[in-house]
Amino acid sequence: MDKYRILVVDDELLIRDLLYDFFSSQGWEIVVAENGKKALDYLKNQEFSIVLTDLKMPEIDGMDLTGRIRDLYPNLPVVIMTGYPSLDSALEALRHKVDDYIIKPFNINQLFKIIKKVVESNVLTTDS
Amino acid sequence: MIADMVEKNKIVVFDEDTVILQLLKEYFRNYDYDIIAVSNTDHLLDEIHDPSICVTVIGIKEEGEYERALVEDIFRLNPDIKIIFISSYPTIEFVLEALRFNVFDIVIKPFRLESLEATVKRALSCPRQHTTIRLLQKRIAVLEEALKKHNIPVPDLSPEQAGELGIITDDPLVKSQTEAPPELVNSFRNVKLN
Repeated sequence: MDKYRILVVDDELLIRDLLYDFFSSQGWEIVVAENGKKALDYLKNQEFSIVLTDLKMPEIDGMDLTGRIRDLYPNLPVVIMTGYPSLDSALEALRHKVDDYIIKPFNINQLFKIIKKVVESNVLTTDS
Repeated sequence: MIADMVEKNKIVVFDEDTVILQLLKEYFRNYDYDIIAVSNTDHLLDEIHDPSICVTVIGIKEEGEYERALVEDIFRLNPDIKIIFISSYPTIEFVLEALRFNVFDIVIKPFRLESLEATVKRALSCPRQHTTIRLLQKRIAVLEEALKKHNIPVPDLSPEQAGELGIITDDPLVKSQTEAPPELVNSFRNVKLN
């Protein structure tokens, strides 16, 4: 992968469009999915640097999606975003080894800093 | 597996409440854990130095900066360790801080001892990456030494192989194309290692 590629999963079109425009402007490749099922299909066929997923979604919610990603792609970083934060979901995120948990509404530049930090710390480097 | 060679059942329990500390110590002893109980953070950090300590259970009195510095110190001394908090009043912010600092789990009071033990067991079953890496590095060093003794050069990763592993390196040896020729591989097969 030459560029970082992010998979954004959110059932809200506005959020998907906003994040698509922003990450593209930063030179990232971005794929958007409106639900967990589509996200899993994309993950089967493409390699991603990170997954950013909403929590509350119909059918497969963000936590369920995270659990499946952890089983299938254990080294893939996952960041959760939600407009309905709760102690229970925060604890579940901790137990799923989620890389971060962002509360909506968020500052998009802050979000980008967090995503970039998670991706860069996941890349293996060796000393010469 | 190499990681299995490391002793896995040694844990440190820290709580300023000595009644809880004693209770946990006696409970875990029944399950054959090698348990060290401490009631202050200096003693905790002294014990954490030991790389065979896999898990630490920490009773939290009040959430705040104190936990962040302690967690940083613990991981600096023992990067493989799994940290489990026991907390009465966790807030979302506290849990998210713990998440960002790679705390393994938070057990909320009041809790059943069996559920804490299940959490400790889960932590102990996690791979110990830093320890495994150190053991593999030692093993590689021993093998390289053996190859040198028999004047067999050590083949390096090709750039493609390094790329497959997701390794980015400026090491010129890794960047050069060095695939071992068949006669070298065959001679390696005949080497008897001590």
